Amino acid sequence: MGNESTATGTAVEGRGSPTSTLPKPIAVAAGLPVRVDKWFEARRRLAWVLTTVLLGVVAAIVVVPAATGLRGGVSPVDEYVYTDALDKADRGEFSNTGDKVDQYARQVMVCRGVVGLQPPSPEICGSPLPDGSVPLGGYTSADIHPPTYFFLTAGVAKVIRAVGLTDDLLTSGRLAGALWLSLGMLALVALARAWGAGWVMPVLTAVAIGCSPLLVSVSGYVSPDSMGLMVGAGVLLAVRRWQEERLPHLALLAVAVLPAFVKVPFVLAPLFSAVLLVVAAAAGQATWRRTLTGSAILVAGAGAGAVMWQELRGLLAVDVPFIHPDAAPPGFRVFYDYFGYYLDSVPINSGAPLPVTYVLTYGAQPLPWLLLGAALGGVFLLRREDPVLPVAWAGMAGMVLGSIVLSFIVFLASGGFLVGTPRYGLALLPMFAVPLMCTRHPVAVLGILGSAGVSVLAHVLLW
Amino acid sequence: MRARLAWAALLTSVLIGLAGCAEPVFVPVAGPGAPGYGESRTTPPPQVVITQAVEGKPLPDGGYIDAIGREGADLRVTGWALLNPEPPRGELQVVLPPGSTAEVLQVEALPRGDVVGVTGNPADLWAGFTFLLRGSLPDDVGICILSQSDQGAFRLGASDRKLCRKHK
Repeated sequence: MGNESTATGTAVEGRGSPTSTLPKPIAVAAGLPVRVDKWFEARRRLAWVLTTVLLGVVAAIVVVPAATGLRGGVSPVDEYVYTDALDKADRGEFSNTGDKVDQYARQVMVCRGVVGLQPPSPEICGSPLPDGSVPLGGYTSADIHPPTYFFLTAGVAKVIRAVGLTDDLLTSGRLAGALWLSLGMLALVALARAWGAGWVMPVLTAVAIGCSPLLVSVSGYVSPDSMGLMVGAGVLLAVRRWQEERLPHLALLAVAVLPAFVKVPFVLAPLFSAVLLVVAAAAGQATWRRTLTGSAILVAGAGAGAVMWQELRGLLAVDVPFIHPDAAPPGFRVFYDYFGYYLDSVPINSGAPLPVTYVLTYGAQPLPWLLLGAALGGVFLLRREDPVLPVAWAGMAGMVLGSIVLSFIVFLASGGFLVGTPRYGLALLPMFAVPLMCTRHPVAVLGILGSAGVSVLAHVLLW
Repeated sequence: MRARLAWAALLTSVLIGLAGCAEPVFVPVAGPGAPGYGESRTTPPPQVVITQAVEGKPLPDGGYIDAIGREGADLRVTGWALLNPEPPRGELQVVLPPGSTAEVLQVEALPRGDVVGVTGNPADLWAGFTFLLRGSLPDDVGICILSQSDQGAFRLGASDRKLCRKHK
């Protein structure tokens, strides 16, 4: 955060919105962030401490009800195989291609059921479950993911069990999601600060996103997607530092390679960051030579990361890969269907049959519109020299083309088709959020205040 | 500064120690780690034999062939039947199309909570089965499976009824 004074100056002083035409109470509310931002700008250390505490509390409020089973059994979003991968990682083992799911995860699934799909089966709970009685003939499908998330989560889960919060592996693994969500929201605020935002809008946006059904569906359960926000914000933050010449080429390459080693769809973050660099050059904000170097590093790094993981996965395999029965050859119709997919699906829709309370549905409703509105506003209204302009363009490109690009990558890599789902776009969410976090338009301020407030209330009510 | 760090470390250690001695806050309601959870022993599978069709009256329906699918050159058959809860579990008789030969591999008993839900008999928990057939079996093969146990003799649903009767 060392260079914040110059970075934030433009936003704090220059991006205030005219509030004189608004009724007085609304104008006061909309103008509040300017005063709060100024106050915190003079007390940055305090601002970071309060932000960290607030986001940590929000993460706990969001994650604990889901993680501790108030919603029932394991998540239908592959948590059965992820639980096994966590169990194996806890014992220092990888989930390799051709491995079978061990009894712990089989018992958890049968005894607790699968949310929305399969009720608990107390009559067979505790009985040894043979391969034929569990999905996929007992084979794991978690081998498709790198072990990074599972080993890091297993480590945090050990600490959670050591402090006595729980003795259960699955519950402790899920509670680790609160840490990944906190870090993701914090990274989001840091990202906004790097692009010149104040404090209020980034924190409110981070809270609204952290409370959204999409984030609950991945953070409250065992899922590598729970690192999506953190990885996406981290990549974009690194790209910003590289733009400012505070990060060397080699570090940018490492940042481009790493997302694939958490989850392959996260390569969308470095890929669309390359779009950001190109737009910045087209707007005259950077030289083409440096832009082409950076873009090449990001695209090649992302590709190399994905290829390296697939090669490593092949080397670790103990058997032939299990072919998912849903795998179907892609057609042009499929790509057409996924055009603009993230426009309407991120982040309000979890894409999973997990229960969402009515209050949270209403709370999350304005968020995608605010993200889209701010991105469109950024594209059409910002001046060429504004550093947010390229993020707005890259974000719009991600919303419109993200799912198609991901489907195309999977098709090239495997010949198979990936069923699009909002969580695959999680690493792009920070990019979508930057224009909103950098604005102080009254509609955006009041909208995000309402969205974040109602969403937090919805989670508090669950307690 | 060092003294503060030492105090902080001591306080943290005491808190962790106390927390470790206390009852866990979050306890799962079912499954591993839940109060009262225990693992029970496995149940042996029924005997599966290849047989010729039998003469006589058609058997009543009981049980079901849920799936027949290719696994490489083999056929995997999965379903449930009314079997004995304890060994000997009973017998599954597989009637193949004329001219086909096969051997039975990898027989497993499967727990079927849904069957208990339908029959209302907890003894039917391990009514499920799965096995592999290896042999000269055409792709469009139909099979018939008959079950024989203390519960009686039945023809499994989805059996090829023509195969279940003896050809003359």
